[in-house]
Amino acid sequence: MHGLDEQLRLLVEETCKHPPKSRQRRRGLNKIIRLIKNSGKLWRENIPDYEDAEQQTWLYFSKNICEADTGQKYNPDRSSVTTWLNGYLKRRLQDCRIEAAEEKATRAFGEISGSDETIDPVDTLAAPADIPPIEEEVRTWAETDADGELRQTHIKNHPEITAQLLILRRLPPDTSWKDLSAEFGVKVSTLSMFYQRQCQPRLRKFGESQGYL
Amino acid sequence: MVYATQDIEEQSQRMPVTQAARRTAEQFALQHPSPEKAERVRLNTLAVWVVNDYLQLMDIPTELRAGDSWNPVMRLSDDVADLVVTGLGRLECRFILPGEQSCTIPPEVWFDRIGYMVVRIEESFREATLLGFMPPSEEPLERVEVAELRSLDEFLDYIGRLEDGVAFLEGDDPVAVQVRCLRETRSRSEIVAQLERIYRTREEYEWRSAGGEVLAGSDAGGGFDREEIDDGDGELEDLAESLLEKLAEIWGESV
Repeated sequence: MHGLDEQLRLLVEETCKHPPKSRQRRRGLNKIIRLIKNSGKLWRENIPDYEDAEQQTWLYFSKNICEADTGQKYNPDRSSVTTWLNGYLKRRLQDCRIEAAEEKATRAFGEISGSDETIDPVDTLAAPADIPPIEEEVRTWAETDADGELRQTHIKNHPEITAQLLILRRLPPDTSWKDLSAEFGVKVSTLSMFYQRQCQPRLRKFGESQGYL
Repeated sequence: MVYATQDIEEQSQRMPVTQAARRTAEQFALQHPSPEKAERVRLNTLAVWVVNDYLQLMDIPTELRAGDSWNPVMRLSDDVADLVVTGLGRLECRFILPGEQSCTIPPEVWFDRIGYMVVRIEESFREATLLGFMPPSEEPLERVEVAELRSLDEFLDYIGRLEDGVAFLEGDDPVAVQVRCLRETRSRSEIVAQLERIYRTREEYEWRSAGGEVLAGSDAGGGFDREEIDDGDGELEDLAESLLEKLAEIWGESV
């Protein structure tokens, strides 16, 4: 137990000698996190929000272990690293419990005041449709090819393998790369390089223009 | 640099999978009617999220929402799990399940990646393990074996090299200025990632011609219908050589 604390104290000291973003700083942080995780010394609780609180704790660790950033800088004279982190983690877990209680109270209030349909966030998510509208939008866009760009862009020496063809054939139910390769007598890597250089940027742009990002 | 399975576990990093991650993954998965595709989208999303959480801890800036993995149009056709590392490029985050020893890399993510991080999603969906990474190689990476992965320490060094290389290309050194004039349209991070690969995988006597190809743009593939640039452009090779020497100096210091 003392062994771990002493090991961590030395590691923190060494790690913090190096400037932020340096490879030694990053390697040090990586090692400290691994040591603490594997030691089993981090406070554990079985609540649904535990992992969120844990991640917040690691962020707090990496921001404040060497410099004061989002909070006070860690002071090795006051506590061991694990005690410092567990203190923060328990406060975050407490926040989670309060939040959950408040949420529950709001729901209960909703029920009492007559609006008996409490809204579960999961219910508001779109149910899977047979064919998602977005798929139809992409198909229509690629088939229409308003400025003819998708039809005109093709693999060198293969005018039949156009950006339009690949985009349409990759939409569900997609043809596998292997089958496309056999069908056109072109290597998979040639197809996929063309797809990545010529089709993906255009699909990305279409996605953005449709407000999906 | 091949690790035995035990070493892999020792070098790996366990990360929490947050509720926020699980909710987003569920939401993305619901957009796909096919159960197999939905499951893959769920796991891809979790892998990207976890790597993003890890990079935040390592003080490596990212743009989670800028990746193809966050673009519903891209998710439709592509098995994609990329994470944009700010200023450096796309890091592909491939999941494996407990007990699996390798994963396939789909052709639609063979190019335009600064590396492949392999993440094991544990059965509970509440924990994940970053097992290691593979830097890009000359030939497309079709399959990654867990036993062949590089450690996270090597990953951190690699990211540092890319950061230093991009910073150099954006600086005042005459060689950097010359490259910028020549290649205004090509992304600097792309040039740096490709030169890093040459630095890492090629003999020094090959740097000149391989680097020249990178600067000429033929390696990046950008233009399929554009004119090919003649092989062995002397001026470009001179420039590539100076550039690689400068970068090797910077990268050598940090070894």
